[in-house]
Parts: sequence; C-alpha cells; structure tokens
Amino acid sequence: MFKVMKTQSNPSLIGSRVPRSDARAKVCGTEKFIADYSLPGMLHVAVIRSPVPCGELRGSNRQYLETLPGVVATVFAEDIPGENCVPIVWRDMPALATGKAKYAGEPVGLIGAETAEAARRALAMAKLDIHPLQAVTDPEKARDNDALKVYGEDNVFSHLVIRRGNIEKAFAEAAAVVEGTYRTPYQEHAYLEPQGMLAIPEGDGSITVMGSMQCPFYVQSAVATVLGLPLAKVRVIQAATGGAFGGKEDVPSLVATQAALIAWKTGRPARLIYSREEDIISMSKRHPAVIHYRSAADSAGRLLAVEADYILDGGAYATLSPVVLWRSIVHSVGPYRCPNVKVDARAVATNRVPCGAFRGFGSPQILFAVECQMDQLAAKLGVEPAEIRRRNLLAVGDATATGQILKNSVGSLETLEKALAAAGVAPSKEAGEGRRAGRGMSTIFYGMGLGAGGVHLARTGATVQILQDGSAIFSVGTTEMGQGMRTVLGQIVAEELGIAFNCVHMTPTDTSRVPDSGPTVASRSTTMSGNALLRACAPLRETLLHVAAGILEAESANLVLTQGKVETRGTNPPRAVELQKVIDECFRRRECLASEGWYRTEGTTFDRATGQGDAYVAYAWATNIVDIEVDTETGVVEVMRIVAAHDVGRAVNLSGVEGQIEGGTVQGMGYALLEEILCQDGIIQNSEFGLYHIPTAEDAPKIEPIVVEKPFDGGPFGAKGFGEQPLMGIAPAIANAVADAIGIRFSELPITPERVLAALNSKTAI
Amino acid sequence: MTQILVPKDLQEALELLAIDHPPRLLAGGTDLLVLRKDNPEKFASFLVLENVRELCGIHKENNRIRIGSRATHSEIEHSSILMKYAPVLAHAAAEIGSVQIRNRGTIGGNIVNASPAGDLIPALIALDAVAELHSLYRKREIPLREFFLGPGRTVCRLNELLVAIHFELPDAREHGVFLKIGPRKAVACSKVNVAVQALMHHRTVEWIRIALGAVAPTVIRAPRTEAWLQGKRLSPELIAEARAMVREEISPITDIRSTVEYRRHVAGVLIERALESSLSK
Repeated sequence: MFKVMKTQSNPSLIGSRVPRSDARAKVCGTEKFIADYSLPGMLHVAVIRSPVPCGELRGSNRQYLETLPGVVATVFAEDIPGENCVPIVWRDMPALATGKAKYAGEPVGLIGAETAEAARRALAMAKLDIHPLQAVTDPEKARDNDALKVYGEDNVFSHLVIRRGNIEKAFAEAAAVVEGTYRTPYQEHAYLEPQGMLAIPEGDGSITVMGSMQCPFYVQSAVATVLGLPLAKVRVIQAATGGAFGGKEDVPSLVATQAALIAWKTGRPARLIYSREEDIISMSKRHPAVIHYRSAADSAGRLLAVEADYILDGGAYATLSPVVLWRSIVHSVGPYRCPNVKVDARAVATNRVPCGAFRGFGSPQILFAVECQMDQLAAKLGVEPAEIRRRNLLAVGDATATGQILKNSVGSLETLEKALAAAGVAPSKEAGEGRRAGRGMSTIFYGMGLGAGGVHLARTGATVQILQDGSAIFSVGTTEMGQGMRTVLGQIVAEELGIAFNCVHMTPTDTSRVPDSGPTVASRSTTMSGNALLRACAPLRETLLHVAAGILEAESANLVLTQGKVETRGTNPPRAVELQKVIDECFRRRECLASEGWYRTEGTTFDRATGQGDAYVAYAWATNIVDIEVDTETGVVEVMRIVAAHDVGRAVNLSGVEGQIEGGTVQGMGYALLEEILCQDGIIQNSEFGLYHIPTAEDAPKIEPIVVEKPFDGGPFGAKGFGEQPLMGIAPAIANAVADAIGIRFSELPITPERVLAALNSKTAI
Repeated sequence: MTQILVPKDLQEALELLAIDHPPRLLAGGTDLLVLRKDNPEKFASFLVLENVRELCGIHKENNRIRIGSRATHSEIEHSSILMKYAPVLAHAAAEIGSVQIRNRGTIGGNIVNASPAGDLIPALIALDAVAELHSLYRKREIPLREFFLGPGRTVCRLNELLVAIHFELPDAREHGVFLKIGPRKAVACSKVNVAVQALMHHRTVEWIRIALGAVAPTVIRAPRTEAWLQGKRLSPELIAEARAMVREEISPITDIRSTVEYRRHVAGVLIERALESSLSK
C-alpha cells in the first residue's frame, strides 16, 4: 500500500548525532521570538476576560476605556468585520464572547494601546457588566439530566464507540476480571515561551501575522474568518517558538485573532504577548478524564475482553475534543490483542477552559487505565507483569482493537525484551529505614500521524532549491517548536543532495511558501515533511546525476551522489566529479535546481458505528520500566531510574530521539506525581509556576533510552513519528511501581505525598 | 513613573526613609519584583540598597556572628564561617530557590518578607538570632522570635531598615540541622521546614531549640517539646514522644500547597529525623 520512499544502504547522515541546527542561536540568546519583534507605530494589545465561569454579558465601560491615556481602540464582538468564530474542528468557539461568557478567562473585549503599560493600566480599569449564571463546573455531573446545558441537549460534544465481538460472553467465561475507575487531571503545557502574536496590516489590503505557533495554516484560517478576508490575503509566518507540546496547536488561532482585530481596526501593527497567568487560565490543557474500565482474561493470561466507559472534560467549546477523543478510543485497549471490545467515550461540555492537544492527545489518560488494569490482571492470575504483556502484545498479522491487521514495523515485543534485559533484576523492596522500593512497567503504542480521524489534513508540501554556491534552502509547512524537526529535515535534504549539513538552511515556516500542509501535530513532521522533501529532492538528484553523467561520460544510472561528489559505480577505479562542479555546470546550462514535493497518506479508514478500521498508517511501540522508592513517613515517591525502549522505525537523529525520550519521560513523571491544576468552582487557583510545579532537572531520575528500529516502509529511511510516545506510558508505570512498593494501588493522578500518606495511614487505595 | 532612589550609605538611606510614605526597600528583588509585576502602581518608589556597604558581609565578632542584611543566600550557603559555626543556616540557605534566586535573594529580604515558609527563618530562630533595626533617630534590637506578627507582617516599621542579624557564637559542641519538604527537590516553597539547634552531652540534651515553618501564621518555636527534652537522654522512644508532642504544638492549615493532616504528620517526621541525626553525632 505504501511505496518505499527512500532507503539507502549506508547513509552517512541518517542515524547520526548531528547537533541541532537551532541550538547555538537558542543557547546564545540570538534566536528571535515574537516578543523580540517590534515595529514603528506598533500597538500593544490587552484582553478583557470574563471573571466568571458562566455569565450573561450586558455591556462594558468601553467608551470610558477609549478615553484613557494611550488607548487607541477597543474591540468587542459587535466590531468583528468577518464571522465571530475561531474555526478548529467545529465552528462553535467565538473569537470574543457575545451574549454569554462560558468560562472564566474567556476573551470578551480587546484594548489596543500605544504602550504595554497603557494597555495594562486600561485593562485594570475595564469593567464588564456581567450577570453570573449557574455553571457546570464538575465534568462528572455534566451529563446529569438536571445539569445546565453548555452544549447541545446533553452536554456531549462527541460520543465515539468501539463495538467488536461479544463482551458479555467473554466476561461470563473469563478466568479473571478486573475493574477500576481511574481519574486523571488537567496538565498544563508549561512551555517556556508564553503565547504571543504580532499582526501587521499591509498597505495592499492584506495582513501578515507572525507569532509563536505550531499550525500556521490554522492561524491563517482563523484570521481570514474573523476579518472576513480571503485566505489569499492572510500571510502567516511562524516566529521561533519556545516550546508547545500541543499547547500551540489550536489556541494560537485565538491569540492571532486578538492581535489581528486590533491591527485591522487601527491600521497599525499590533502585538500581544500573554502573561503566564493569563496563559494558564485561558489556554488549552490536557483533558481531565474519568474512566470506568473492566478487563477480562482467560486462565492462560490472554486478554479476552475490555469494556470502557469514560469521559473527557472538553471545557466550554469543542475545539479539538472530537479528535482527541478519537485518538483516545483507538488506544483504548493498549498494544494488545483483544477479540471483544466495547468502548463508549464522550467528550463533555463544562464551563471550564477548553481542553485541547497535549503530547499524547487523549491517549495518556486511557493508557493509564489500560496499563494499571494489566498489572492487576497479572496479579490476579499469578503471572509476572512482563509475562502477561508478552502473552498479549500485538505482532505482525494481529488485529488491533479497531480491527486493523498489522502488516509491518511492529517492535512491541522487542521493546519489551530489550527494556527487561537492560533493567535487570529489580532492587530489593527494603530500601532502608522508612523506604520501600518498587518496580513498575508499561507497554504502549502510538498511532503515528493524523490517521483516519484527521485524514482530510494528512498532506504536506515542501520546496527545495540548490543555490549557485552549492548550498541549499528548503521550506516546509510544518514547524520547529523545539522538537528538532529542522535538524532532522536538514539531514534528509543534505543526505539526498550530497550537500554538507551546515550548508542546508530551512526558511521560516510561512503560509506563502508552501501549500497548506496541515498542522504540526501527531508526531508527523519527520515522516510527512520528510517524505515531501524526498519527493522535492528527487528531480534535483535526477538533474545533478544527468549533468554529472555528461561530465563523467557515464550512464546516470551508474552514478551515486554522496557527500560532496558524484561517483561512478562499478568502474575500477571509480571516477568522480565534485558536486560543486556539477552544480556549476547546471547553472551554466540554466537547469532548474528548484523543486516542489507533495505527500499525502493513503489507506486509513474508520467506521463510526463500530469503531472499526485501519486507524493509522503505522504505530510506534514502547516499553517503560520504572524503579521508584517511597518514603513511607513522608509519602514522597522518588523516581530512581527509568528504562525506556522505543521502536521509532528509524532514528534519523539519535541524539534527537534520546532527547525526546528524556524530555517526555520527565514530563510524564510530572503528570504522574506532581502536576495538578486546582480548579475551584470553575476558576483556576494556581495560575503561576510558584504553585503549579513541574519537575526540575534535579527531580529527573537516571533515564536509559533504548532505540529499537523496525523500519516503516512508508516513512523516510524507515522512520516513524514518536515524539509524543515518551510521555504516554510513564504515569501507569509509576503507579504500578508504587503498587509494587507499598501494596497500594492509586487510580487517581497525581500521586502526591499527601495522597500517599493518607493511603498509607488508612491502608486503602485512593 | 517609578522613582528609584540609590543612597550611597546607611545614613543617606535612613534619611530617605524618614518621611511619611517612605519608598519600598529593594535588595535582591526576588519577592518584591514578583509582587510588583501585577501591581506596579503600588510600588511607585524604591530605595535600592545596592551601594549601602554597611549592610554587607558575614563576620565573626568576638563571641558573636553578625550577618549584614544584604548577604545573599549564596554567600550564606558558601560562607566558611557559617559552615563552621552555624551549618544549620548554611544548609537552609542552600535549600532556597534556584542558583539564580540564591545569587540575588538576601537574608534581609527573606526575613522582612515574613513568609511563614521562609527557609532561613527557622534556622535563625533556632540560633536565637537578633535583628538590628535602624531608623534615623534610633536603633533597636529585636529577637527574631518576637519579630513576626503574621504572614507578611513584622514589627519592622516603614522607616526602619533591617541592618544586620546577629547571634551568639555557637559552641563547637552544638549541633544544628535544617530539613525541609517541598513539592519537588529544588525551586520550591516549603510545605514544612524545621531547624533544630542543640547542645548534647553523651546523648543527653543539655538544651535544644526547635523552630518550625509553614505550620503556623509565623515561624514558631516548640517550647513545650524543647523543655520536655531538656536534660533527657535521647532514645528512639524519647524521639517518638517528641514527635507526637511537636505535632500538638503546631497549628498548620490546609492551603494550596498542602493539607493540615500532611503538615502535622510531616512536621513530626522532620523533627524525628533531626533528632536522630543529633543522636548519630
């Protein structure tokens, strides 16, 4: 089904440890983030927000605000020239609330002022006439009959199912059944750079928007919608982006409309940089989840049936919830064979901040339940946690929970065996006075790319151009946000064209350079932009080889392009010509050394009635083994060591892969043990890093990354996307380790010292 | 507009403070500038202490140690005098914030900010330290245990300047321990912190001072437990009793950082660990 794009026998750059091409500028502080851009006449924007989770909007003191020193304009819903809508999956979210505000922090009005100080002072004087209404602030009560309606008839944005086999029969015949209710919290992305946008009205009736973002084409669509402009008149350029983790997928569209509305109204450039507090209360989060999960196995430890019924708290608007929910159901059985599956998943509406994308995209929640269940099944059947996984792991030829037959690139068992071998013997449970040690594991998988849930966006474009001096520039539609894409794609271009890595340069991602390439999400950049670049490079290679054939008086089919030269193959001795000479000759002949590439994925399917289909083109696989120690007097769980084996198809950049494993693992630790957005009656209480704690470098354990390579024939050089996967299985592995250490199973995250101590004192699970 | 005053010495600083609405004192700024961020109008005028050399230094003076209020946490952490005579204070300083915060933040700021969770305060109270307050017209000395009135509130008046902190030179046989529990290993506010300074003789407590943070509106001593321990020989049973007694002496609350149950329990655990560490000396 998928063509082999490119596999060389011994590529020099692929699989190497090329240093990141953006590292120096970021470490030295020369990289320009959006807050570093300033233009003459530029206005500063402040956002007036709803103070209540639900309220009827009756007016504001905007006339007064406009008289304040330095204030140039205000914008409210009635001033929006286009449609008051930020299109994401659906079109239910307004740019500025009108009639009713639906969450605390929802934007209601905008202030444009000459200085950031004037904007801030005016914001402090802003008053909304808002009549507070009763709000739905508990997602578990959103579906109650008497709950107020935030969305539709039942506060359900989306209900997805899997129906496979017959679970009743399987549960009746099972040797072991395990049941649990799992609760997972919000998680805040905590990217280093808060959200920010700069909108520049151009003299020709178009507008340029720059900023921190993952998805320039989403931003383009949102700005065109609110301004009532054709897409052609909105150009979006990504500025250097200081971290994202999914938090800059959908919400930058909203931020961009805020800057653009002030710019459009005043005809002046307008910039908006969020404060951290504003960012935390109003930007997307990982969906909190409540999961009821039941699993059945036979006496041989084979998984027979799974029944799951769960909700994700979508918040006040649908935003990405329908697709987050979709990814979660595809991962709802884990990487296991299971003939009987019944899953009901709902994204519910509440008067809370809209939740969106976060590394793993709905899968960490459900995988937490899946992997805690597997350990409990193992315990019930008297087999080791590793053994029950070994007996159930998907292999080539098996069907997933959505009925997809796996055809290749399945490294699940290899990650398990390699992680086990590296982890060795578990440390003794007695870890000194008042300390208990434990080991836990998780085995997970990740459907790479957008899959059937986002198939309409599953395409990418790229351009490549060789310049006269032998250097090359390339452009793609996906973005660098700190994940290392620019380096990996630079390696691919350098490898394909035989050009030195440091002579290859990626231009800033810009909607005017390449066609709409979809979002930079779903761990898709290496494979999608990589494939588009391979296609863009192919005609350039052909031209280079053709011209070189003339110089070397050889058939181009007998030539190889390696770093810096073209060589004959099969002649003794080989004859060679320097690549620069070939390029010189191309320019002398006026050959075109610029080319475009386009790539789209094919073959994914999904039936909404049954939840069956070929959900993703391929899957990445991973096993985590975690050693922890619990201080039984203070309840503190200390992670000592994590062995993480990931099947990535092919590691284009080994250091990049290891970096992703280390970073994701620590982020997963935060999710497991530390991170908690405290939301009281719909209002976030800890909107600062002094109160929302993420792990520091000092909290990071010893992390041992293991790279497994089961090449995927649809990926460049066999690569699969996997950047999200390192986070996804850490929380259940830690919960399993805690259960191993102290015999108490936590089914709610985070596993804080307060909860551990309370459980130890009452000797019951929380 | 923000007014920034930069006095050249202590006398000038005190003169600038001797007005009705004196400027805010700015040393390291690690607390003050965070407060100012959201509310700059409230912080329109600053007195920057950068050039006031009378506030600098950590000195051993005959039978006491005197620390200028502008000594940074890093200076305290690495001070050879404090490492030798009052390691409890050096260890507490090492637990504060990050390297960047420790390089900027000062002992004076940590004291006048009067957080119930401030990490230097229990150590200083365990050392029975005294604050030296100067205004243009008078000087006074206040024992630190009487300095705090509540969260963010102290006896220091707006036109007074905390010039230094001093305490009696600890006997070489004294032993001090600082322990803290925060949400993570670094860059974190304490959920509970404790400092113990004691003189032991053959495992018998000659005297002991116990100070606890984040378990009451101010950092507090545990006088009942201290008195009860005095003259007794430390044993595991005795330590267990002290642990229970301390839990009775504190009045923690549930807030965004932790719960009353957790704080009460862990305060006892930290005291137990501090006493055990004395036992092993």
